[in-house]
Amino acid sequence: MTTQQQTIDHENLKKATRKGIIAAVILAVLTVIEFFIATGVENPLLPLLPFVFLKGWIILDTFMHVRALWSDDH
Amino acid sequence: MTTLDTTPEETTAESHGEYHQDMSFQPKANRIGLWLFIVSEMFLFGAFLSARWFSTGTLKPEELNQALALLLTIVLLVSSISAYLAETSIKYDHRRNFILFTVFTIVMGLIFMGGVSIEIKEALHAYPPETPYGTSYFMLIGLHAFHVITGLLALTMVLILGLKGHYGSKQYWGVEGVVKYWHFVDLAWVIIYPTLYLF
Repeated sequence: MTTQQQTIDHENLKKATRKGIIAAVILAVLTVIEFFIATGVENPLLPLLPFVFLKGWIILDTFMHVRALWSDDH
Repeated sequence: MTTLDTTPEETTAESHGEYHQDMSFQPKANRIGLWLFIVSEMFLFGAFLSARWFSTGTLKPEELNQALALLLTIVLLVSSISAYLAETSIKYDHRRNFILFTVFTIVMGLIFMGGVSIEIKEALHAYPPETPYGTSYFMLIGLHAFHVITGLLALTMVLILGLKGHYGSKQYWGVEGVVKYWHFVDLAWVIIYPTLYLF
């Protein structure tokens, strides 16, 4: 493997790691907000639904790479 | 060179080459297969989740251990990011990090299972399986726990194979498949957690 290729790989690894950590932090923050809404609001079903969908999409997109299914580069 | 000019050994080598060429398309087929399996699992979880809505609506007992459930959700999220990092590491041939993150994911999974067993112990007294909420609770928690256990077994297998040097940047489908399954387990919990504890 050339030095240039190693540098590219290192950069890609750093980028992917950063992306994953940001996604995890967002998920954790959403979970805590979700918890406080649920304990503070009388009927929390409707206010919580967007959180569930958002968290689900973040996992599907960032961690499970669902979009790669219809892209050619994977 | 025609087929008549080749020795049996050369013909075998050629057909092996073709075989390997065909196999290069395999990861895409594997991914589609795994996604089909995951979608079928989503239907299974969907049926159990709708049973909870149908039988008890949004009613939930006061005795639910909210703090423990929140903690378990965070533990599972942490295990998901470490599984992601394990997959990313092997994709770029960082074998040491791959092993470390896989071990960490397994440990987080075991902590999650420990927490679930405490929850189940409490639930058996507070809302036993004979009650309408208890039925949904034990069905969903049990189904999810079963998936966590199978995920842990698969992760352990990947770890053992990884320690033997089986994966690398050019061949990491085994890791990718298991990690994707683990993320699905997390995804299922993201829906089960509010359904049982928050709504």
